[in-house]
Amino acid sequence: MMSLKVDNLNVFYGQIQVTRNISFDLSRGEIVCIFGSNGHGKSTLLKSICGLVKASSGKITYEGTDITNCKVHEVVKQGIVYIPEDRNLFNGMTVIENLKLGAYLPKARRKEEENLHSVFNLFPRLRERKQQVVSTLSGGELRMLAVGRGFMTDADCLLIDEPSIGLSPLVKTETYNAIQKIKEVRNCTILLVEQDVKEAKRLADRAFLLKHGEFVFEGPKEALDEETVRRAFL
Amino acid sequence: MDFLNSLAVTLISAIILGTIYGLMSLGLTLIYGIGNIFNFAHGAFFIWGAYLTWFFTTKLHINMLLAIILALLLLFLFGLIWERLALKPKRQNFVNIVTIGLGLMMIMDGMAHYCFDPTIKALPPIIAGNVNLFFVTRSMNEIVNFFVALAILIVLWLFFAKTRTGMAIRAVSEDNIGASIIGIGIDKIYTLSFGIGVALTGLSGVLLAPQVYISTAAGGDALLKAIIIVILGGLGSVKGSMYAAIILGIMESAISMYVGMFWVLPSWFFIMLIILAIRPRGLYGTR
Repeated sequence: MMSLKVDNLNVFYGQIQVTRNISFDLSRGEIVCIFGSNGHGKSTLLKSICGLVKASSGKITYEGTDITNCKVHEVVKQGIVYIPEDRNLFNGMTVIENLKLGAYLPKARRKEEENLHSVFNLFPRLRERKQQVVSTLSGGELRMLAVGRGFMTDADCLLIDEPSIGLSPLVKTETYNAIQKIKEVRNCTILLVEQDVKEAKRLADRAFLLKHGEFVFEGPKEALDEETVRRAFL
Repeated sequence: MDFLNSLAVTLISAIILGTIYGLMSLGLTLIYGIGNIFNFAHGAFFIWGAYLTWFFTTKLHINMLLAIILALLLLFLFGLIWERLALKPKRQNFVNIVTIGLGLMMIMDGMAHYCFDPTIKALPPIIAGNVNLFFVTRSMNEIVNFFVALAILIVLWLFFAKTRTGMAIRAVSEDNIGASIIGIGIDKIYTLSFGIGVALTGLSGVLLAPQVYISTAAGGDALLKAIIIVILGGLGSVKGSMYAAIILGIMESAISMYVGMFWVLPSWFFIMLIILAIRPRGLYGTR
């Protein structure tokens, strides 16, 4: 069943075109990775889906509902959550306050306790740190909290931006294992932006390669060979 | 004994004044802390709280408590509408926001003269009489203000720490993008917090009216004092404003007792300059 569909999406920052006629669709429960080097429009693509950046043209639908250029909180209400690379956590609050705020919407509030339990099972470190102020957490713990807060929204579609950036290999694997478990627990659709091709390919069902705002590769992850990736990154 | 007596007078006056000044600056602090809006109409909202209460009690003969609630409700609603219609479209432009605030202040001052005539009005204290604290005699109204200010701070703390809306307001003030990506409608939060800030400012006007009398000049004085408190405490920090208010309360009571009343405001500016030279963002400011 189709979950997220993007049709001929074009995004501009002023005069500069960032994405060019991007089209793809995601099925429910699928994990798709978007690879590409810095500045080629990966994050912009996620931001335009979640409403943080306005699309100049094109159409985005989720579960049959047109969400093109909807306000961010309305996109969250539809069941899509964006987990940014910058994390955008509430640094002056505690871990538990951040997680509870993730369940702000009424739909998420009804499952707050259940989801909180799942987050603590996914990231036991967060349970240990739950009364700690966010500004005192390590980089890996901040990443776990950002994913955990996204999970608390009870969304069915997760847009995750570079979850492994700046993490040690051990924490990176831990984070990827948690994302895999999230998919299994909730059967959610995940669109993942990544630069670590090897680690992300382990998780993905399909892969896209983005260069200068256009897809230069779309297909099953097995078909994405190292040479294609290397050429795209150069 | 004389020294002990004057010390007690200074300390008790400082605490009472500090709490009152803290209350006076609370609305300005909240509006800046959450929406990044420096509300230059603060003095006008301060005095309109008092004017409306005076109008309801003396002209419509409504019970004092009901009159206060009605006045605050009207100010709250006005705050909601004003934020949505006038401030929201210009939120990104600091100069426009300042100009809109100054314009509103002038309109509200002119409206106050037009609606209530320019003569100075007096609002009766909620509880009349004096009370003797150790060696110091203070009016009951000041004591009531002190406890009301404390109660408001406790209620606000509970609201921001325990309720979902209060936590959402804190979330927006910390990171508005972070708040929007978890489903918080940030426009609604800005509007709501502006309404709360305006109502709190109006409440401080009502409580202080028996001491400062009601005139548009009192609004200008309240704005000037609140600006000094908010800058000294650190823009947007409720805790900073409270400490700043206590420091300035101590300055005011000590200066007026040992030097003279006219040196109070220069001393406020002097202490503000010293603290800003040491801590450019104020006592607890982060921006």
